[in-house]
Amino acid sequence: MMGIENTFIDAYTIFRREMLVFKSNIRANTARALIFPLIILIFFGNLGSTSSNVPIAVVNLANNPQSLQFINTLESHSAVSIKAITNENSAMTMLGSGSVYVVLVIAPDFGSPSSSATSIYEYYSSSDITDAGSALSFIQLQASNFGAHIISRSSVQSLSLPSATSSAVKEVSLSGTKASYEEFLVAGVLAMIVVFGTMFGGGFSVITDRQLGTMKAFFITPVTKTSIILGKMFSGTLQAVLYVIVTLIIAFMLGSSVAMGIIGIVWIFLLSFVVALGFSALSIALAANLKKVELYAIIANVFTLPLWFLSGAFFPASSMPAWMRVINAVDPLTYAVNGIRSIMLNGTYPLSMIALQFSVLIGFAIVMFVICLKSFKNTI
Amino acid sequence: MEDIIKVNNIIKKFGNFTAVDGITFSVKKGEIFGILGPNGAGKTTAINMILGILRVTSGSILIDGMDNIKHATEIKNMIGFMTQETVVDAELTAYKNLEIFADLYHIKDVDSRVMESLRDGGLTDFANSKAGSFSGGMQRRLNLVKSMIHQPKILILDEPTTGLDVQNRVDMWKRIKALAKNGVTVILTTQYLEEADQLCNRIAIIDHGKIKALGTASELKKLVSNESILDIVTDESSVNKVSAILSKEFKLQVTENIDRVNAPIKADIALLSKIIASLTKNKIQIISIGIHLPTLDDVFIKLTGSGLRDALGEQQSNRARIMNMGR
Repeated sequence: MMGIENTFIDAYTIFRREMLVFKSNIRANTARALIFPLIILIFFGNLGSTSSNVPIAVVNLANNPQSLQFINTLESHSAVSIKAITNENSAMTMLGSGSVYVVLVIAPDFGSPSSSATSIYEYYSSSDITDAGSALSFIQLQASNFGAHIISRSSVQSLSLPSATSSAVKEVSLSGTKASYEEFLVAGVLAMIVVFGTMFGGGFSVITDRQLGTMKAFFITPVTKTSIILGKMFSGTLQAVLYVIVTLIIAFMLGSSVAMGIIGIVWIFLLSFVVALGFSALSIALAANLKKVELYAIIANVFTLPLWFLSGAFFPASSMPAWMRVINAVDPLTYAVNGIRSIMLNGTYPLSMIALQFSVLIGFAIVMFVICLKSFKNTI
Repeated sequence: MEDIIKVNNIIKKFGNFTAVDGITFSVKKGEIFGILGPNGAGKTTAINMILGILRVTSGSILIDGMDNIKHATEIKNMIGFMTQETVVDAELTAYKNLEIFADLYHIKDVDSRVMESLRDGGLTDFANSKAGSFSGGMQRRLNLVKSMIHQPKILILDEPTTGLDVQNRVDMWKRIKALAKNGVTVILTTQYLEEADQLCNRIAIIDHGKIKALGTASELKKLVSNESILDIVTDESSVNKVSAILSKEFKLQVTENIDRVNAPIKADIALLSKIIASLTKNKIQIISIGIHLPTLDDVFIKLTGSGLRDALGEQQSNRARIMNMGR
């Protein structure tokens, strides 16, 4: 029992030391962890200057209540401006003449009760991609909320009508939120900040300690490797959560909001904490046997960037090809991103979602911790 | 005196390279034990194995009768270690540096121990300054008191004065002597001859991973000669001629080393004059000639065939003068 007690006492000492070092370099650390995600948020999300009222034409081949509701949802937001609801030939003519930037074709099976995803076709001219881009993103967001699968065509081709497929609409109530791509992106950016924060907090400090000789100095003391790992894990986690707080404040200042209110913010912190634990442990496991910071940076990016891109941070899983959706399903970040997005955009966080996401993320953290224990050596 | 450390035939291989090739020695309780050798001799590797932070390829190490791997935690509480590189958390204050380590050793009254250590290190006035702002000597002192924060029975110092200026080196020597007076067993590795000579009760000379000789400074010097050493510096092209004259005409046992010729000799001025006369007659260019008592460098030359040149090069005589002032 004394051994376990000492393990946690020593872990706290290591944690304290890490946080003292972090505090003394707080400006550099914060800049390093936040700069890339904030660039993503500001530039890709076009915060502050939205391309709005992008003219589009809609071809409604389904003509059922679900498709009408979908069109209403599009109309209720200023991201797009529906110029015409018409037939395919007229719509493509409008696209060709430049009076609309996107043609949206709602497939005949939109809203049919069956289990596979519905199709929506979107057509745009590749020369108009900069103007059409935000509209496309917005449409993708709305379509995913209706469980629909987007097929995009980037040049003006002859319209090939989709064959009738049976499908069911999985409608997700938006509770009247005015979801924009910027807000869609915030959840993914928060996830990215957690990953960057843990990479710099946890694994990076293992390498610098080894290079500077501090790790050897720790090994001389009776401290166990378990304590070192736990101390660095929790330190990396707390640093990531601090970055999330700073990012949320910036996001709020730039117009973002959390639909679920204060309780939602608390849930966001809890989610960030749990996903940060796992990624902190992952970063330590990667750094466990590396001596060079440059190599660590490469390997850490090789692991974490794909996990981030395929988590649904940038684009919904419904618009991914099948193989990507498999990775998306096993990617722990997906669960964090979905949770944060539900809290921020939908204003809900159902118990089933909480149970699933937290059990996946806690499981991920435990697995990573065990891998750490096996790969970390307290000898030089 | 009983042995507190027993190192038995330890070997360490890194792939095909053998860094430590069967080293055996014991350290007596309360002594200052020196491990002397050039860079790359295997000193730090041997120390790391004693500390248990590097696994031996084969061999055993007992500390206070306990196997150093099986009883790692107890032994780590008994040993303090100062690394060769000055390791302090540059971003933390001197106080915090010590406090963290005091906590890792589960010291009861952390604040008073830390303040005592700061006093010992002459760093009380700098307790709340960042360690990164300290001079090299101050950082080294902080490193030293940090390694002793838990009042260990055994203190291992890896090249404690490498890179220090003369004043800080003298200061470090005084501290090491004071520790030993207080009953701490000290092991230090060094590449400085006079450091080993001045400080250590016993010295192990190590080269290429093996112990070449072990004993007190006097015992080691007697390996070379019971007498004095004739030391002639000439140009490289004349070394062979000088050797031939000394060995054939004066029947001396000669050792050559680049531009130097050494030989054990009686301290006899008349003999020296004859040697000078003979060298002059043979028109040999002499840069310097003299007789001195055997040094550890002479021991090293005899054992390994080459001298042990420290980082400060040829200033040993100057340093020796300053050391004598410090006594």
